[in-house]
Amino acid sequence: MTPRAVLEAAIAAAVAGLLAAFALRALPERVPADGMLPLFAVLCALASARLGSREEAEESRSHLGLWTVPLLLLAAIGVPEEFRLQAWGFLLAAALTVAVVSAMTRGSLPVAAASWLLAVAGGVRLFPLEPRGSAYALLAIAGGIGLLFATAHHPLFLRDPAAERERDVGAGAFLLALAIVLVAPLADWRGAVLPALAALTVLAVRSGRIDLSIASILLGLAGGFWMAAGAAAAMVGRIAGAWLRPAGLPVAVPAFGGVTLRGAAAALLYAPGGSLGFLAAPAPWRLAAAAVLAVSLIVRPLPGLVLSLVALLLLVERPGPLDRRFAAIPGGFAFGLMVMAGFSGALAPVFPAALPFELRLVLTATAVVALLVPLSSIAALLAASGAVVSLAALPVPVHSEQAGRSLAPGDSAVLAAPGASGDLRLVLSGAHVAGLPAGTPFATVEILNREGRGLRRVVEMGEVADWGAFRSGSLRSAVNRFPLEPGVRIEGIGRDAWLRGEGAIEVGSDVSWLRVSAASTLPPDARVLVERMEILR
Amino acid sequence: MTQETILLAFFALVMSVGPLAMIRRSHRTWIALDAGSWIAIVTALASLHSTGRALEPALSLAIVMGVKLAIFAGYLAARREDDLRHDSWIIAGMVLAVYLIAGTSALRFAIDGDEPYYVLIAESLLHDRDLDLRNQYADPSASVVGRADLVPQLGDPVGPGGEQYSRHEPFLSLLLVPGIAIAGLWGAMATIALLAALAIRSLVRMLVEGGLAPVLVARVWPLIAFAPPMLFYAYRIWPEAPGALALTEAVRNAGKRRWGWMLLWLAVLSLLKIRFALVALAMIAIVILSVRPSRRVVIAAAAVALVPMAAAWLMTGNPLNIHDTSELVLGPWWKYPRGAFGLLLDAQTGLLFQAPFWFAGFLGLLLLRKELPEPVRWGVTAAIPYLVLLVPRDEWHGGWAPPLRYVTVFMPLFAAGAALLARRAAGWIAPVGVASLLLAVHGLAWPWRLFHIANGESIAGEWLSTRWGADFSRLLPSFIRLNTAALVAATLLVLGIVLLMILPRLRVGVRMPELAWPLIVAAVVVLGITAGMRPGNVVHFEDAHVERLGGELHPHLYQVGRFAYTGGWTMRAGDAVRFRMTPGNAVLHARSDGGARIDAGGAEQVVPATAGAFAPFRVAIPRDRFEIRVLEGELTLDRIEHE
Repeated sequence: MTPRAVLEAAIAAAVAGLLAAFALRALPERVPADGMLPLFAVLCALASARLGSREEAEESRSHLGLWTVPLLLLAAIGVPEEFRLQAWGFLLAAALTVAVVSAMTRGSLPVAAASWLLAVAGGVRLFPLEPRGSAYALLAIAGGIGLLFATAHHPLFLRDPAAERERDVGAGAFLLALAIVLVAPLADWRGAVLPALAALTVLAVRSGRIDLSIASILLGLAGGFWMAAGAAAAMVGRIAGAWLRPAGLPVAVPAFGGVTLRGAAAALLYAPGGSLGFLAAPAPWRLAAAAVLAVSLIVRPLPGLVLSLVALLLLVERPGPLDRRFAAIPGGFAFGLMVMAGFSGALAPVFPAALPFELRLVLTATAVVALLVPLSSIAALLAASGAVVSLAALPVPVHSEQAGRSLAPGDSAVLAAPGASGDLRLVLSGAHVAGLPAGTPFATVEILNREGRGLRRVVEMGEVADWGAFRSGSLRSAVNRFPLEPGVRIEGIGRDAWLRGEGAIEVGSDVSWLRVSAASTLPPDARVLVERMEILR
Repeated sequence: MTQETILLAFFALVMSVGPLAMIRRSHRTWIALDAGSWIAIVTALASLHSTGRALEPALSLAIVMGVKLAIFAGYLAARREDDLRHDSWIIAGMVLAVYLIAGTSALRFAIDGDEPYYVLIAESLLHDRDLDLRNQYADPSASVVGRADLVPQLGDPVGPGGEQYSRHEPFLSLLLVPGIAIAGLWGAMATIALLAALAIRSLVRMLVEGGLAPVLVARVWPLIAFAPPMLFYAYRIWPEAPGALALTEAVRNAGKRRWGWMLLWLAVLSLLKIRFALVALAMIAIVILSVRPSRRVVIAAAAVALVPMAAAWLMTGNPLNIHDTSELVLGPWWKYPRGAFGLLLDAQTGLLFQAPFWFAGFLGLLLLRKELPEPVRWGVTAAIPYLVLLVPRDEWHGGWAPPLRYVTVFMPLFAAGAALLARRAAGWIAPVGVASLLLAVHGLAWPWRLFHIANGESIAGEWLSTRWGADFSRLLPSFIRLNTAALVAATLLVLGIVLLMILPRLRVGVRMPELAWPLIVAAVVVLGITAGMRPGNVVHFEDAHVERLGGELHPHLYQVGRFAYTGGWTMRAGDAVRFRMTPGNAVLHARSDGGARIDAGGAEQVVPATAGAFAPFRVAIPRDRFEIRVLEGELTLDRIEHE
């Protein structure tokens, strides 16, 4: 960026911020989320800064992103409170996507431009504005920029490893940095240094011999036990040498507990010859592994976000210049990440499971396609899978009825099912159960349908969680797993946002009565919270 | 599987196949765009879903349709000429599919306005072989309309034997008969959709034959086909979309000097609605004067001119149907600018707010009139008598119908104007396209909102006023209830047009930094917010920002020709209204048949009987939040304004 471009960006950001502040002053009723408006306006203005010469900026139309500023202001008065933060998120995502796509239309992404975009995107994590949290956010952004610089010099991320003076960041590396900065848990300094740790790791393994395990190391840092185990095994496998590669997959599957789908998927991810080494594996292996991967993703809440990153890495990180036609892919991914910008804190504690079923399907389709087919025909399959998956993603109206019961161990409550027709699901959570591992019996639901038949269903921890287990403050103390089918209700805003540990239990249609009984084996102070009943039509 | 899911699947198929058939080479680009947009849409909708804020399925479908169609329009606009495959049948097929999806979704609500009457006539033709609707009104359950509240419209003709006819010309109903016979109401809608899709096909051919580059045509037709008003009339049972087809074909055939076909289509136009005969007659006159065709053509033209009037005379005994020659007499002068500027700038019913692409078309027709192809110029000239008679009418805005009802028939003319403007400069198309997209999504998701009482408030003004309890409507121009914003907007438009006409001659270039425009617009928005939140000097009591505790709308919502009445709010003892207004001395306009006693901001006042008319009363407004409560009697409040 030239000094003049920096000055223009600063002026535009200042004017946008001031206008947003004036607009806020005029509005009599405000909710805390409204405080994000000036920050969003500033970030949209900064995202629209020109990142190349004036001619390049005109050609790429990067200034179009600034039109999101008046739209932000219109949304402030026109969009109801419950949708406002997401409307702003869409606009910020649009501004960033315009910036990413316009920066990449030249076929590459210079380090300076990538750093600028990352800093702008990470800026949303400054909210709510208070010194300590803001310091953590800045730390995460600085680490993310460091990661970009590290990857710009790394053989894995070089577009052309043969070129000596390569200074561009690959799209995959940029997306990886973006994802890490946006999901890093900022409750304390340990989460905030995650991007910096990632950058150090990349620098530390510069030899190129352990290239593809870098992503798994980074993700292992953010993931749970299987992630970390997989990362460690991958490191060992890579360092041990190439002899493990042909036999890597069959050895790794039982080693990682291949009897469970989660273990199998971890093996696929991290084993030498697994998904990160897929390109070197024989075609039948690729096919089989991708099929297992697809199944595991659909039936278990596995790291869809991670896999999509991997898939995108595989899509775009090829030697040679980036195909311009695919500039929209990282742009679209940046859009996806930024849409939830107003709730940026919610993702980290439940990472990577907090994905709606439909999104998991999309990511699965993306990952499978990325692994199975060459780049040239990927678009057609993406189009088809996207269209098919979208059918499942159309939100269905939910009739919700609050239940509001709290049951001590051994207690039970009888509930009359709502009159509306459709599939009924019961949303439960727990209190004082954050320390219970998955699989612990939690409650029993007895169902009487309209034909007079009874059913019994045991609910375990893992299907539900402690209501507050996924607050950023509970990140390290709670052992709960995020529910398989979460009720998904976001509390709070900005980096303080969190998802309630509600799990949805399907109880079928034509239900007449329900009895929910808390397991008598629960600790004495534990409670089963019957939150609500929902009808899906 | 819900209806919306099926429609979405069909739409996904249309959007996958349709665009691919329209281009020669860059199929992969579309597939990537299609895929990317699906992923973005699903992500966005899923994110809403994940925060427990599920959208209505119809709104989701409308958003998906709007976004995908906008992306398609942008994609098509970016193609080079040798990449475009201009097969107008493929275009018509895709357009028809989209109209059918939109129409099927809209049919979840009862049809409204004039629509049910056209269907009743068609049913009468189908089942009774006559135009007498007495049995249709007597047994509404036998009709596919699905409305039990239908009664004859005000002024419907009655035959000598007591026959109950409709005021609407039966030609459109005749066209609907096969559709209704096959598939009931859906069939009627599909018939209109088919005619509307054919209108778009004709438009594409007209523009290409008129010498416009295919690239330019590709930029224009999606924004005509998939944006209001065409999108909203393309599946509604009104004669507007079929009329657009007839006029387009007439203009196209005039350009090819195929006079017989031109006359045939003008006859169709006239039969669809007697008011369209004005356009047809003017077009015939202009063609005869311009090219002096053979005597045979002139005789045929005279016959065509007489056909609709003869048909009307045979059916109702009046060659003008329910109209009379007094409507041709010029009205008061001020009604002309009001109606003309209203059609252009009114926030509720004007081109600028309801069909911005057509507004650009108007500018194109005005500023680039010398570049218009000859037949389009004839069409524009032929439209003038119709518009001159339309604008002074009290119903210039179209009444109980989606916006721009009376000008939808001129679709080919506005499209030609927009195409010419796009040839000069293309920078305006994207923002206008986005605005059109938002309007399309709004109308597709909530079709009933397109029917709005003509009270001077627009959907946007009403929404903001309700949300914030402040009179935002006064910031948006209204020519139905003339306000200051309307005068400002009309002045700015005139100045703008004069500048646009003069600047090119002066060779003065004005170039603003690209970053400045969005910030200037943002500043205007902030000014609007600040001004809108301040109390105003005039309050109309039926407006959305007034908090009403009891009482009822006057006249009632479905009063025929409601716009001809002084609207207001009727209150009885115990009812109250609260509102914000600048403090000071004000005049309250109210009507009370038997007199009333009110508490106006703490001061008790007596309102004497006003003998059925609204009369002014002085009221002091001590602070900006004010309440009027009726203590005794009944009165109707029209407005309160500062002295």
